[in-house]
Amino acid sequence: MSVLVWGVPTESPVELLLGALSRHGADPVVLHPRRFLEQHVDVGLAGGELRGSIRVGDRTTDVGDIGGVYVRPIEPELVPELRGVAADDPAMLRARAGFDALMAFTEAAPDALGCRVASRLSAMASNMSKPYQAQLVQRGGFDTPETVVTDDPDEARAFVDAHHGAIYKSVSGVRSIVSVVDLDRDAERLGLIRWCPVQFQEIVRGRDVRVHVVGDEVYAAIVDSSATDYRYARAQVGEDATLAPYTLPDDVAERCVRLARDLDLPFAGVDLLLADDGRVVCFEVNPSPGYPWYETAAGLPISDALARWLLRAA
Amino acid sequence: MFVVLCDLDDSAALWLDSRFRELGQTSVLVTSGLLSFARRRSQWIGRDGTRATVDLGDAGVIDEPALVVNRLLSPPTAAWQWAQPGERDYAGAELTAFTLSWLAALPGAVRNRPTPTCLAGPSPHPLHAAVVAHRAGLDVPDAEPGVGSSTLWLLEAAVRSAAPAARVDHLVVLDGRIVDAGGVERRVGARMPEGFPAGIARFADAVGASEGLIGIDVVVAEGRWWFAGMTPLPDLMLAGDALVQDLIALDARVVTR
Repeated sequence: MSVLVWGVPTESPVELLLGALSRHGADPVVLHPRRFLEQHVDVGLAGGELRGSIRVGDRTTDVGDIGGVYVRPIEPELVPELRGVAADDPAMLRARAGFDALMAFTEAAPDALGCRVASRLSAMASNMSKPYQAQLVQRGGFDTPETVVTDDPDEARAFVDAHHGAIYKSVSGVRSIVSVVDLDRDAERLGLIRWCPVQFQEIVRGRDVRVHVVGDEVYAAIVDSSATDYRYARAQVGEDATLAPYTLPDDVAERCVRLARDLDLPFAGVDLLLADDGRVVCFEVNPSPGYPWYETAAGLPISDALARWLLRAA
Repeated sequence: MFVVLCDLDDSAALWLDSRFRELGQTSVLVTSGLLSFARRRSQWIGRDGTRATVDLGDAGVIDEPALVVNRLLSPPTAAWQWAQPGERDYAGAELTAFTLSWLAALPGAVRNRPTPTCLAGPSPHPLHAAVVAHRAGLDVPDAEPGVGSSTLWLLEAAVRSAAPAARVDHLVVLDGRIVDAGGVERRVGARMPEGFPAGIARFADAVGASEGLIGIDVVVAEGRWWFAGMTPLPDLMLAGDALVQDLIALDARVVTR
């Protein structure tokens, strides 16, 4: 069985995976978004079954021979060679056709062929709304922080007062730096939320743990930092966060695997906090985790696990 | 209170809202534009569950509606139409995220709950939908998807592979059941094959529409009913008052639970 890697080979998550696949003796088919002219994807239905092939250069792979796919593409509009190119330009049309055909294949392949896909783009979309995903996380058995999403400054003020402080961050998957609300400093700016709801959450104190779920396996790192958002620790508190491997309690590990499965995300980054009050709080589930920092700083063999999962050796 | 949620140009939603009113229901038509200029939008998520309120001023407050018919395709961004593109895109993402979360958690009967890929409800990729339809026991034509996610390629393929006398029709499916199946058969001039309604129910369940209101295109030829695509925005008027009554009955089911 072949493995398909749909992403930019020099981007660190893809690069680490390609290295791991190579160490396992695999020769994956790499679909580089910038090399769309060298690729041709031909998929369709025959007798209700998924049929077709994927050609990269002079290598053609029948879709029935593809056992696993790693999905980390970039949209054609963001490909450097196509920046500023009109939507009806032949090159853009070619790139778009390839992207759409690959998306069609990865959406249908798990049901049609039993192919392992990490992960379908449709499944990754749950992360586009943090409060929506929080509802799914609660159903998965985790606590989530007390939250209000509001465009009412009085409501926001009352929430911050009731919880003796709060943080705010984006509602959508658009990356934002988690920051603490200062009602005095932010008094005037708070009025601006009338235009668009903002998410406010109670401040939960404890230790951050990042859990990478790969199939049924978990790889967790515990974070040491006093920053509100440890990803930006240097900017917030003057020094980087440090990471160490962490062994999750069995029941928490099982909940992480179940949650990722319920979200149809065989590869996921689960952001937990071991709260000082004993709760295990889940902030969000990253559907396409940028895992290299956790792999290198905490020594977690995540890329190896992902390679084994794609090769069905796990 | 019934709420019909839609984009501004959705004539089927306008029709449904007016039929609800004519039949004595309290119904509010909420367009994306009205939602964009809401007086207040808040949602709370925590240990006590999830609740929300959307205050539309004179149009009323949506907090615990009895029934929501959701046909919202685009996020409520009318208030941002003159903003800088970057800010408008950011607001669009934020308002989509809020709307998704709000509709997902609304109490009462909601047809449809949104999905992360479509605010209006279940919307699997057409190729995936076709594979699922085949697995559900429905006839699916041989076809190759075109560029984009349009379902027309499947419809075109079904028409091409069917006999010249093929009929194209549209089924309105509520909670896995074909609304006014007898009326559909009269319109098409053919009986549904044995097992076809059960196949539709299996399909609806597999795409997350076992509690949903979807439309399914079919091509009928020589006794076979070919699956030719699905949409979370069915042609409501085609199902007529049979659908209106079924939707009103959903409210009664929620009340008696």
